[in-house]
Amino acid sequence: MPVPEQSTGKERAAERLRKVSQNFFLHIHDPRLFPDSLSPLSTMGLGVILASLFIVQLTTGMLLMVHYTPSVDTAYFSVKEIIFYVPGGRVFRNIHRWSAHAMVFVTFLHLFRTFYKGSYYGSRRTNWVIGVVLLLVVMMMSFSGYLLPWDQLAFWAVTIGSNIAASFREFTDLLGITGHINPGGFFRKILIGGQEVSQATLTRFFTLHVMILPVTLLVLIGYHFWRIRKAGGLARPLDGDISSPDQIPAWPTAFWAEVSIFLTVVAMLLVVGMLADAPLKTIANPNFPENPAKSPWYLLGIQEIVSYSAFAGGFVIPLLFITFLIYIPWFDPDGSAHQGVWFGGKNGLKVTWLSALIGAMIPIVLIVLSIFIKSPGTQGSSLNILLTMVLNPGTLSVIGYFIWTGMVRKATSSRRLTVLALFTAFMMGWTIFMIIGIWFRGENWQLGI
Amino acid sequence: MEPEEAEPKSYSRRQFFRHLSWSVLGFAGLAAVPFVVSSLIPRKVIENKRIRIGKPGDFPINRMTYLPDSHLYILRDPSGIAAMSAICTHLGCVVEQDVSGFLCPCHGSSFSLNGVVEKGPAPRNLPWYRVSTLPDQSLVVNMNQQVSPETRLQT
Ligand code: FES
Repeated sequence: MPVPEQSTGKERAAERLRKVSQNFFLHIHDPRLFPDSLSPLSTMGLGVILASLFIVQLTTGMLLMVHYTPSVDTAYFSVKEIIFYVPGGRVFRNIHRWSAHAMVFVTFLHLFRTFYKGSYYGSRRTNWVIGVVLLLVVMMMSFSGYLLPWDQLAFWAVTIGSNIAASFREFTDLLGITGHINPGGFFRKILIGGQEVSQATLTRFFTLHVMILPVTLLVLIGYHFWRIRKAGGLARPLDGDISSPDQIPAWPTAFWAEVSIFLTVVAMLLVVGMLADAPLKTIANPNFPENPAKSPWYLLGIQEIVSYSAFAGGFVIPLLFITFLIYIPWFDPDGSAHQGVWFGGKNGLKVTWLSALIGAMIPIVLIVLSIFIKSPGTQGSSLNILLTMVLNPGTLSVIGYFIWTGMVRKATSSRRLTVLALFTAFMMGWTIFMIIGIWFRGENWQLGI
Repeated sequence: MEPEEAEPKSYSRRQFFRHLSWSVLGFAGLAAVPFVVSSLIPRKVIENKRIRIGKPGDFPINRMTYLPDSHLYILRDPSGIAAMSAICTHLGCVVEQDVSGFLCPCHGSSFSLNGVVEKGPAPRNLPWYRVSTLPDQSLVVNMNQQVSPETRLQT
């Protein structure tokens, strides 16, 4: 019902009420919000960017799915067909690939924003945990899509990835019980559907990629949105009272803000998708590994520490980190002083800088040392396996981070500063190992420039 | 609103059915778990662990021959024939032969000529498998049986 031009105030109010009650958009948002919530610096719009990327992924994904066949004999050629014959196929595939990378990247940014701005206190705790799970699902989503083209890169990245899943075996080997129970091997078998990456693996990864993970993601995203409202709405001024009159109606102000973010994302992806081609190597050859065989960038940090010890780098350290992430709001529950404050104030900023420096220095020093100190030959004895698990740059860095965090805790006795120290050090370490993996590992995983 | 709340001592029909529904749902869910998990386990038949590799004459003497399909290196020397796995014990890449032994391209593990780890991260030595002959003289490698690197099948 169009509003007559000279409508009375009453009519306009009624019209707004109608829109508000019938509007899907307002089931996601609070009907009124603070202008601050829309200011670019408060959330940086990262959540909306992620939602936009997800919509792009769903759309391009469905378009690709029409032409793709998940069979080891034809998968590779169907991807070639998408690139060379399907009108617009090349661009759709490029967008799908780049947008997937962007999604992982922005999810990390979103995590940083939420963490450094102290947005995990009180009733936002649940959403923090959902967020961590979402991060994992996004990464799995991206990794499962990696296998589908069935090229060399895909085959060997997944061979390595699935063996990381089995690396628990090193632990059971250490106890000498692998012959009886082998949970690592069992998990790997379920994941790839056999002893080696094959048709069964492709089918399983395809099912994960187009069905199980997207549905999980959709449900979790819905819950994630709903929890924002339950926890008191978008980021808002600390002293902002929900009944304050300074608020503006969400419709249509916030709506247009979000639409413009979405359009910007799509526009950027279109440009990138037309200019940059997503890689496609030669068809998978189970006999000759890519040399070097590198996983996607966001897993290269893990691959680097896995190259020291599969069990420590692929299992213990990631598990430790995820547990720490989830545990943060319980360790540091009192946000009265830092909620919504970047880095929790001046001291926090100082600790963050220091932790970033230490987080970077420890692995760099250790890696340089490892060039000179030859790692002991692991002749298969239990002691040697144990030694490689502990005495490697990855494990030692993590031990160093915990010592540093303990020092911060002792010196400041502030829980917020403690988590700031560990989180920052961990993230810096991850970044350093990732950089080493991306730019400093060449043929035969040799260190070089 | 619920009138039952007024009389706490009685266990109302509504409560009973509520509990019943939840328990049925719970048990049904639990009962489904083993079926779902076991349906995901790949069938055993697919794994073929005994592989026929040809006749002794197919392999040049004093060389290690690589068999791509089975990921095996077959050694033939004056004292006989032996078979070694070519799959790196670290994360499963295929190792390549060079002058002094084997090298894994994925994370740089190296192994001596008889498969012993010389440099990590590979945690275990490359396994050697039992080789036997069929009546028609063709060779069979049994990947369920590991042997020491010195073991040879006399030819
Ligand atoms: S797979 Fe061989 S060193 Fe990692």
